[in-house]
This record gives sequence, C-alpha cells and structure tokens, in this order.
Amino acid sequence: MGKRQCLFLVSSFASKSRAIKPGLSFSRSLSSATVSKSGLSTSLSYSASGRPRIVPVAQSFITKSTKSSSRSVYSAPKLENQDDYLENGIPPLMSKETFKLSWVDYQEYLAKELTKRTQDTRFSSMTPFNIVVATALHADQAALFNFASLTHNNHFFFDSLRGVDAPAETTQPLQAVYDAIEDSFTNIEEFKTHMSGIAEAMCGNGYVWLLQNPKKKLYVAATYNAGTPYGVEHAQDFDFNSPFSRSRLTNVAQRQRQLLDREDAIEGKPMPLLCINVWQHMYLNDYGFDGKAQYFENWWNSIDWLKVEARLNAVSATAFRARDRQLL
Amino acid sequence: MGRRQCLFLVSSFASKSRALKSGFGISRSLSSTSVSKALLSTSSSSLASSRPRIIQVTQSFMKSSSRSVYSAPKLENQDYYVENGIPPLMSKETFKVAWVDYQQYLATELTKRTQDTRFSSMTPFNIVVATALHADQAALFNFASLTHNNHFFFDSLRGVDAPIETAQPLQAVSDAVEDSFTNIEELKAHMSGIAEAICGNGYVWLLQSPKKKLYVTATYNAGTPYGVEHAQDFDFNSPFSRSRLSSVAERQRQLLDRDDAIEGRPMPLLCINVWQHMYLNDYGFSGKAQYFENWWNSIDWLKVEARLNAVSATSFRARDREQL
Repeated sequence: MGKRQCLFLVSSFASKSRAIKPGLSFSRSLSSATVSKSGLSTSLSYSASGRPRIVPVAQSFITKSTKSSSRSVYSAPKLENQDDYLENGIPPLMSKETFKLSWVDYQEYLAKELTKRTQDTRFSSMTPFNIVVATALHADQAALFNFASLTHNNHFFFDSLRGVDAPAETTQPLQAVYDAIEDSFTNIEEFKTHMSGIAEAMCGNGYVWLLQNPKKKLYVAATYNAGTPYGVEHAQDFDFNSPFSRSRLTNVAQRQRQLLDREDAIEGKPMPLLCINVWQHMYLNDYGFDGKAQYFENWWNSIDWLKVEARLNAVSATAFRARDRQLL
Repeated sequence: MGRRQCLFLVSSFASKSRALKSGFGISRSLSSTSVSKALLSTSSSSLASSRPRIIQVTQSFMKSSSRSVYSAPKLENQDYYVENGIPPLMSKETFKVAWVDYQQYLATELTKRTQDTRFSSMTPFNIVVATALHADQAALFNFASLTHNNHFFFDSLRGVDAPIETAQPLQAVSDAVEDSFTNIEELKAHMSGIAEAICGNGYVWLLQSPKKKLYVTATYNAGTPYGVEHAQDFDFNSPFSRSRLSSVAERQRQLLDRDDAIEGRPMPLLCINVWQHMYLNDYGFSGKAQYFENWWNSIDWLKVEARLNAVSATSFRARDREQL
C-alpha cells in the first residue's frame, strides 16, 4: 500500500457509504514519508435558511499500484467542537475533566490499542467500522473487534453532541425525526422513557442506540461493553451475567446461526441515528454511581438533532449503495 | 418477623457455613427500635505464634417484624485505608469511591429492592442464590452479587499490621496451587491474562471446587462465581465460537435441574475486582496490568489459607443448613 490520502467525514451519516461510516471513527496517519492527513475535517456549510447543513467530504481512495512498507498508525481524531469542549466541557452533560478523560485520553488509548493489534496485518489499512465487520464472527479476533468497536461507538457518541454554536432549533427533535419516532413509538416521550429505562437497567458498561432498520422502522437496542449495533454479530441486547430466561438464550443461538449465513452481507445493516454511551467513566465523576438517570437527561438535552435528521434521511439514499461496494 | 439481631463476620471464610458466606456481604441495621448492630465486627486474636487468627463471630438469628435496612459494613482496616489508601494498590481517593461510596450505593439499592419482600431479611449471598435463576429478579440479583463480590474483594486485602510472612503465599496455599497449576507464577500469569483480556467490568476469581481442585474463572459485571447460575467466564459481547454457546446452554440446563442444591458449591479463595472504577483514577485506561501486579502484592495470604482449609471442614455443613 503506497501513499493514501484520506479525508474522513466526522459528523455525517448523510449517506450509507462506507467512506463515511468508517470515516466517522478515525484519522489515520501513515508512517511512510510525504504528506499524510491526521486530522478529520468536517465541511459545515450554511444554506440560505441559516441552518447548517452537513455535507459529506470524501475524496476517492487512491489505490496504489506499488506496495510500500508503511503501516497505518491510528490516532484519535479531533472533534468539531473539541476546543470548546476542552475549555468548557459539554454543559450540562459533562465537565471538562470528564471530557478530557472520556474523549481525549480514552480515544487515544483505543487508537494505540488498535495500532498495536493491526500492525502488519491485513487489518492495518481498515477503518474501525470495517474491522468490526471483518472480525465480528471470529472468536480469535475478539480483542481487535473490541477495540475497533469501542473506537467507532465512542466517536459516534461524541460526534452526535451539540456544539456551542448549534442553532436553537436543533435542540429539539426536528420534524422529520419527530415523525419517524412517532411512527415506531407511541410518542417521543415514550421513546425517551424507553431508552432511559434501558440505560438505567444496564448493569455494567455499554451503549443504548436508536437505529433505523433497512425497512425504515426505528428501534432501540442496547449493546454491552464493546458490542456493535450493526447486526453483524452480537446485538448485545441483554446481559448474560444476570438471570435470564432460557427461551432468550435460544433466540440468541438462533440469531447467531442466521448471522453466520449472512457473513458478507453489506446491505441490510441498520443505520444508527443516535446513541448514549453509558460506560461508567462517562458519568461517574460528574454524577456518581447513582447518577445515570440525570446523566441521561442531560444527554437528551445535548443531542444535535440536525445530525440525527441527516442520518435519518441517509438511509433512503440508495444512490450511495454503489459507493459502498466500491469502497469496502 | 420479630426482632433480629445479627452480627456478621467480615473477614473469614474459616468455615463454609452460610452464616459466614452470607455475613460476608453486608451489615444490616433494623429499622425497629432497641439495639441494632449496624457494623460488622471482626474478632482477631493473636496466638502465641503472633499470627492473627480470624475467629468467627456469629449470633443466632431472632425473628422480628422490622424491615432490614442494608448499610455498608466497616472493613477491618477501614480507618487506615481512608487515611492512606491501600498502598501500593490504590489511593485514598479511589478507596473512598470504590468502597465507601460504592458499597453504600449498593446498600441503598439493596434496601430499596428488598423492602417488604421475602428477601428483606436475607444476606446478599442468600439473595444471590435465591434470585439467580429468576429473570424477573435480575436487578436484585445484580446488586446482591455486586455487594457480596466487592466486599469479598476488599476483605482479602492486607492491612497495615499484617505480618510480613503473610505477604507471600503461605505453604498450604502454594501446595494447593501447585496441585492444580504448574506453579504459582503460572497461576498469577493466568489470572493476569484473563484480567487483561476482560473488556468491560468484572472479577477474576481463584476458587476451590468441592473436589478440592483449584481453578480460575472470570465473572463479568455482576456475575457470581458460586456456580448457581452464570459462571460468566466469557463475554458474549465479543466474537465467540458457536460451540462455546452450546456449552453455556448445556450448563444452563444442568444448573436449572439443581435448583436447591446447597452442597457442591465452589469456595472462592481470592479475587481481583477489575471494574473500571477500581483502577481508572490511579492507573489510567491502560493500567490494568500494573493494577493487577499491585493487587497481587496486596493480598492477605493468611485469609486465603483460612478459606482453603475451610473447604475441608465438613462439620460446618450442618451449620450451613441451619443458617440458610
């Protein structure tokens, strides 16, 4: 692999293209010489209505005909609002100390682990999302899967939060999102309660997601630890560490078998719209052990609903499917 | 239920009695009037050899009509730990978070979830056993199991006055370990590797089976090592092989058939708590290996030995049934 110049999009799922999903997680700098881009950039342009519209910025991959001995080194990307967050935290959600811990330190830790585990392997040029898909069904790759999945999930979480400049109208679910939620849930309050209840009930670390399935229905799923919501493997919608019923165990086994048959399916994966990161380090310092409910409430008020809307619309953009296959 | 007065033993598995295992988790104060003991007490007397021997202190249960309120017990070395932390394992700030705050949080949750239920007079261990097979009791199981496990972990750590000879595995422990593992270094490496590989929160345990073999197992989140239900020896959240899924299902079916088996449970000898809040502040995200190393040097091996011996004390089995 020779020189790759990659610009990844931080904050948009405006299409289901692989260039964008993977780009959500990472910047990579190549250890070989010449120019390499190690920061993510988002192109944020404002339309006439004054609402920021997130535009995907992707450059085509340049395939090299000559192999090189460079290895890719993962590093944590810079968030759109990172400077502000470093100064001020993400009020009211988290203090600046927690932000430093759970993004700056944590994402760098994940990046190092990813680099360590992908060097000189076929994974070394893959984006975290691609690594998730490639390793999900391989027990011997569990550690690599974990770090790739955590990298992707944590980035997705932070990318979905409001910046200080976000317009007031994006603080509430936008109409399209509102309508979509009400299609699948009784109303938005019920949906919020549902997510909050799941977050509260989780004993241990994980994420709670709102996803849109390929059939356009919205649904909520929880992933424990480093579980992925993409349906490639473990939906992680419940915790085996606590009592559970035997019938649920059977369902998991069954789903396993189904997934194994769909190993290389690209289409048919759900699109995440938003998620809350309920790993304990996210809320312990600011809220205490029993503060998860308040943390959820503050997270709800910190969502950038414009980004959620962009992802919602993206699922129906079939034109991007072609690009998926090209870039995988 | 009338008035109950309960004194629980903090720091000994000197017998396999239920009173001890149960007493391990927590002290309870009764909301009724008159005297109630809210703190655990340990009776520790020194023999001529000046090795502290942990003596079981239990009182019989008396029935009462009051509801029990769980509260975090005071550890044998708590005053020292609050002042100094547990060097080199943890700072005093982490000790406050991981024991004082956390155990109180667990106690509050336990109280909330057991009030006016048949569980309200049960010790955390008993709640674990009683709820392990009931999906609708998952939250209660979790808190009871965490209460028990966290207390067991802290109870196994050395105090400032521990004699120097307890800083290394005592002979009986060494011998037992070498029966089941190549040597103690191999056991340590094995446990360390498992702890490192755990992605998320959990515990890594050294246990002795009813057949006297030592083995290591990991429990994720609030999993219990007692074999009542979920051994939690692997993480379903990461890729795993289908055959392992089948063996878990198999074990599930076996356990369900043994619903009321009391005997045949393993005895934990020691454990490391690798919930992230245990090491994050002092060691960082990547510091779990160093945390393990410092924990290994913080074990009170005398307590481990006492538990080891206890497994062969069949006379305590009778007391088990009495106290359950």
